[in-house]
Amino acid sequence: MASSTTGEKKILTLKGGDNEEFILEESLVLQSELLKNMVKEERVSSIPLPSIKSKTLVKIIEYLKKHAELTPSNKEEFKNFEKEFVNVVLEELLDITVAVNYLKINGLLEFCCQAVADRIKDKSVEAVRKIFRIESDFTPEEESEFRKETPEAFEGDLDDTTN
Amino acid sequence: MTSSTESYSREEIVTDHILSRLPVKSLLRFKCVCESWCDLVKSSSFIRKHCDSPSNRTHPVVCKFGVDYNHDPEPLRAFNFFVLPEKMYAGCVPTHQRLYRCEGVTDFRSISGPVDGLFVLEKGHYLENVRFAWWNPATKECRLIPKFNFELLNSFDDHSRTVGLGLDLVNQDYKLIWMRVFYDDEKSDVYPKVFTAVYSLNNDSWKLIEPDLAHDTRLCVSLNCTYLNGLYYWMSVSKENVYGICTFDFATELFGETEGPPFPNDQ
Repeated sequence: MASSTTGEKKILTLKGGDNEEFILEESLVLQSELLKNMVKEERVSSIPLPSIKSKTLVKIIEYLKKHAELTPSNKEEFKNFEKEFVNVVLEELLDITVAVNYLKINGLLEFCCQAVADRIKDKSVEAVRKIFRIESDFTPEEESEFRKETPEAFEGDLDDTTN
Repeated sequence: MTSSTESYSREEIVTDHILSRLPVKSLLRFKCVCESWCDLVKSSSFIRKHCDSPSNRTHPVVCKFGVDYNHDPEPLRAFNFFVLPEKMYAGCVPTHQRLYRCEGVTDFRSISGPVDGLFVLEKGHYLENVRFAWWNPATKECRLIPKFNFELLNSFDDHSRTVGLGLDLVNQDYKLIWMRVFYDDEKSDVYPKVFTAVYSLNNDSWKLIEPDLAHDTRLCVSLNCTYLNGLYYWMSVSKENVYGICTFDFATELFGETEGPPFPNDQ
């Protein structure tokens, strides 16, 4: 793919997992350490990201645009946007977090991880296994040992939902 | 990267990042999610990361040490913590939390710490009847430190003691420094030696050290933990009434001395 420019601005194409293409200004993707290195070193104009779903990529690009517009005067507005940004089903939030980690967008990664932590901190063990798709490798006896060790950690209203 | 059916747990960096932001109570529960989570939560690198995570900043607390005479069969000497709200306002009420639990150990003299959320409790205080215990209020764990006795003469009586808790930054080892000075009844004077021992958590043992400290230099009790970046600090007063700062380096196990800050004039 040939490199194209409109005026001074360089344009870049990101290809999502389902081959959907996203055209955006190169300056936006520089917030991603991974993409920044690719652009700087290889002077590419199109980057395939087969492991990221298009739906996830749409969200991330939305964030990159908002973040690029961040100024001291619209800080409040940006905070509200961030709050709304992570207000999605947990599975989608995890997809975004994994992709952001891969793309190395550090500020957003910290924000996403905190959002996931806040959402799972009161969940039951079973709910957490479902959310992270983990099979338990403990026997029921071993599990009850954990419960005996620190009963207070299993007390109270635990959330069984995966959302 | 994770496909739509693969476990998110494969993304160790993400799991690590997320779990290090969770409160201790959640971690104690999630230890039984699977073996790899359990190993991660117990690893020293994770514990350090969790400790340093800005989201786990400690809650402000007030600690009250008192004796409960209504306790059966004998009075209970216990520590009560009062957790303060994150945002202080006029008239706010702290939540009462009796966090301390260590079965069979009720007679406490003092508490040192915290360093990284760890406290050291001191039990008893007469000559050979001294015990220390680690206490982590977040996990509610309490672990007795092996007993240690200096070689005392029969004519000795307690004179002064100093305890300091800190981290050896070179070996990532929590240590306790314990200094005692005795009064010699036979000579009717203070025995001219500072008995000193260092306990290392990694080795779970005590070691005698011979510091170059004058026995008649007074180390002021640091009301809170005056430990910072690998060093413990005490204000010291020499026999000649000169004020200074005495330091102990937990890595080299050496004492140091620096001049105290200038005192403002009385005028």
